[in-house]
Amino acid sequence: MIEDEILKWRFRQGSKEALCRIYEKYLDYLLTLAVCLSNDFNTAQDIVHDVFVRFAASWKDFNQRGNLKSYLTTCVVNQARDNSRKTRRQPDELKEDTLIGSESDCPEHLVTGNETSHQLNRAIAELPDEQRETIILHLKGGMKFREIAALQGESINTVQGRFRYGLDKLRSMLNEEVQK
Amino acid sequence: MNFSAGAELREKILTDALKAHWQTRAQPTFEKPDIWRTIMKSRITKFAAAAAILAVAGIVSIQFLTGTKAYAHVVEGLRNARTVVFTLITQSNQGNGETIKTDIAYKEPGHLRTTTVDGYVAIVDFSSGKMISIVPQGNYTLGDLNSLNKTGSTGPLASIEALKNLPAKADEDLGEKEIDGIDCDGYKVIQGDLTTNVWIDAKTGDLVQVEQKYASAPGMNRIIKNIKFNIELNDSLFSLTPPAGFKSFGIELKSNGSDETEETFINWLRWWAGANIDETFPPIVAGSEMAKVVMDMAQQGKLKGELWKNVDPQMMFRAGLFVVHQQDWRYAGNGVKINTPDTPIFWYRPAGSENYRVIYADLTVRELSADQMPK
Repeated sequence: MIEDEILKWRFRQGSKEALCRIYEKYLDYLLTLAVCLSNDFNTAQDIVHDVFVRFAASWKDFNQRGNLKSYLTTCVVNQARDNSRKTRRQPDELKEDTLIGSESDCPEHLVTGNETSHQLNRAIAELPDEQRETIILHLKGGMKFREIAALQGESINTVQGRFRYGLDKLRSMLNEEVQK
Repeated sequence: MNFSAGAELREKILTDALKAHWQTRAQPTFEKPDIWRTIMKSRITKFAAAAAILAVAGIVSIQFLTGTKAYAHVVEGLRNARTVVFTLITQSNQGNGETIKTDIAYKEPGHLRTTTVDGYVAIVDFSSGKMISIVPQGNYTLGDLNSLNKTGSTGPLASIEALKNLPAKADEDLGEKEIDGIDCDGYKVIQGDLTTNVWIDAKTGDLVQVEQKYASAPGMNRIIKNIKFNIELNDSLFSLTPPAGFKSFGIELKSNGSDETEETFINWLRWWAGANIDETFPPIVAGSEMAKVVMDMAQQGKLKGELWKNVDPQMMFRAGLFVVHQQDWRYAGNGVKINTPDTPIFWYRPAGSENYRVIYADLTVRELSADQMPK
């Protein structure tokens, strides 16, 4: 809160240290968000990379008065949408090779979770884009419905509806998994 | 499920981001300082001007600290709050046990106001870097804090960083205590030199009081209480417009980034020791309570009026900014006479350095490793 306001101010002044601090503070959060939105770790890396590079270059014109975290979240969402439009892929479950436990031999990333989390992730991946995005932004990104509505260009009621229907669908899918 | 970037990915993205930053970056240009005239018409006025100057420099060292991570709802409340108010109580270092109370109010985005019980007010707008310091004698000083971006240190973020780095578990259970009529559970957290006692309402889990003590710097103890989040705060509380009827000291303080050095700070310490009848160093070197400290000393007749008449406001301002630029500093000069042998009065760790620079009472400087530091 207070720190972010000072960081924004310093960033606008061209402070490299502020940029580094913002990077360290939000990298993992944005990466997690990008993975959830894109369903692919490699794509998520590219998304976060592009977002930070553009952000870093924007300091002269940076005039964000609102919440820094929300701003960066929006950047990731927009980038994820752009990527999705380019590939025009159907939502796919997270590839198994990106789900790596803490004992992984892959140095690139660490995943914390268990089989339940994997099931949940697979279910989320099957949701329609708008519902998935809404759920991820609200539950993972901590965004309020009005912020999501502004981002998606929809009314709050629509967003809340997407959230509700998305959760209902998730419950239904997960219950089917349990019954199996 | 959470993801964390590995070292290689972390390095790659940061490198590319810094490269993009560098490519669009021009060296910041700092305005040359204007030539100020200090208007000193009366004995009290000249001290008030100095007090206002010090408050402008000192405000950004406000310490924020609250409960440990174990008290997630408290920390989360602070992090997500759009407004927060609390009372900061610091020792006055006047040797008489007197404390200074400062009320702090913060409102997004980036508006900060501090008020002492005697009516010394400092207001900062972090979005613009502008600030105003108002003294109850009917005067004000404007300030421009644009140099704060220049340093490699966390500066005003240091305390917020300390908040986030508190351990998940407290080191010691302090048991129960009644504070202001509230039954509290207490927890102690020890982090090197800093000991923090956190008191939480046993019924509601709300933060009631936080106490901070630095073992190596007695006199820097603080108590934070009356903490409230998300209360309504009128925009007028954070207005940078001088109050009606108040007169400017004729000073507009601007930092240029290049003169906020150790040398400037030492020069100021030397000047201060020569400008008070005890030939001692100031009670404190940062914090918005500096204004009150100066005025109290003036009213006690401890300051040499003629010297204060000719004080260089810019030196005072930049000395204060030097302090708040540092990420890890302690001050132990309260009551110490200049030239007292083998007595460290101030130490800090420059950004990127593992060693500390220690300023002694004779104003010499030595570089020491952490294990050689004064205790």
